[in-house]
Amino acid sequence: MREDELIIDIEADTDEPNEHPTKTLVFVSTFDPSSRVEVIPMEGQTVRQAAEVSGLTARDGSAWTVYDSLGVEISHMPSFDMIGDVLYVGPAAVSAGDNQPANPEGGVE
Amino acid sequence: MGKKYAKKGVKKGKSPKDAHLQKVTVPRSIVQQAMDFTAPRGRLEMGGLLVGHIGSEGEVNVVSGFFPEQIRASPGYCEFDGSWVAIAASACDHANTASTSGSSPDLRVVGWIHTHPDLGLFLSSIDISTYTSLRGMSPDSKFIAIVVDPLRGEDGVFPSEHMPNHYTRASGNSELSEEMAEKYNHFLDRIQEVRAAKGSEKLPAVLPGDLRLERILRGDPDDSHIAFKRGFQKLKSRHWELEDQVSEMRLEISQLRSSMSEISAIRRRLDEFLDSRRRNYSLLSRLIG
Repeated sequence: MREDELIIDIEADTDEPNEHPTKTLVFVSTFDPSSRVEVIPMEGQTVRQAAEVSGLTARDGSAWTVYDSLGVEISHMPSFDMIGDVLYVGPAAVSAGDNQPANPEGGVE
Repeated sequence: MGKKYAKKGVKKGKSPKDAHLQKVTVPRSIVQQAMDFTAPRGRLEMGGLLVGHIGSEGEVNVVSGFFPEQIRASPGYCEFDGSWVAIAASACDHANTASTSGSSPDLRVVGWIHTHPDLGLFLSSIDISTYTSLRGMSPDSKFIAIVVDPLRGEDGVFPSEHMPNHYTRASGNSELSEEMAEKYNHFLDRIQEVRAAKGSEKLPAVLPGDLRLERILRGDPDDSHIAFKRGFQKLKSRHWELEDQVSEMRLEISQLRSSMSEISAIRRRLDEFLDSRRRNYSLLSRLIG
């Protein structure tokens, strides 16, 4: 069977939609867009609170937040307002610095 | 049997540190573009993101990237806003869905690049902390770090945050199928749209890697080359300024020399005068005495 082949089942009782109506927030990892977690929002919950259950937040306790697809931070927004949107969970900032090596032993492979 | 035991004896096990090492492919073009763009900034550090895909053997393939505006930048520190990671991820999403090919690997943020101008190649304690945090946020931990020293012309690909002095040099080229090149072009198109909307000061440099010529033909600015050219002109202008200063200093030195020779002549005359006064005084003393 080809993927684009249309099958009509004349014995089917009802026409069931292929997709359920979206009532979830879709959280995506900023480091792997294929890692997507749908979360059903709860009354009075912020986007950040909903994202906490997604498992996509920083594992080491470092600062993270939630952005929309334009990079606007929306973690403080009510989660109900963002239903159906794709939201990205990522770091709050990316820093580098300190002009000293962490370990003085060195070497190029 | 004996042979079997002997073989077992020489078999190398992976150390816990080795287990964190990732297979990585980074084309030279990416690090060269990063160095060309950041060298004119002098000792100011700069950080950016790397975009690529995971190959069939689980290797991290870096293909392109960009340097966003820095929130803070000094000779020992740089920081950019995390929203750029979301923008990059969203552009990857766009490219993955816009592409007609379903079987090719997805584009994603695969690494982080930052500069160590005239500091050499290593990961500092802040770098390790950032690397650990970013790699920890990657669901499969496929994430690498690159450090470039644009003033010494050095680059290092760090495959693990646990080995801050273990790096390899970027080498080779990106080998992209037509479908993958199409995906990367979708990604770069979206990034250029973001730049058009936000302004070049917010997204000063896009690193197209080996797709550079194709992107120039499509109308993208050649950021690294432009920055390098501007840097060269700035250096040339600074060179002429210094030449002028040296000429002025030479003139001042020759004036000082002539003043010094005048002073020496005056001093000689004064010494002669004092000598003659001394002689006269001693003659007078003898006559009175």
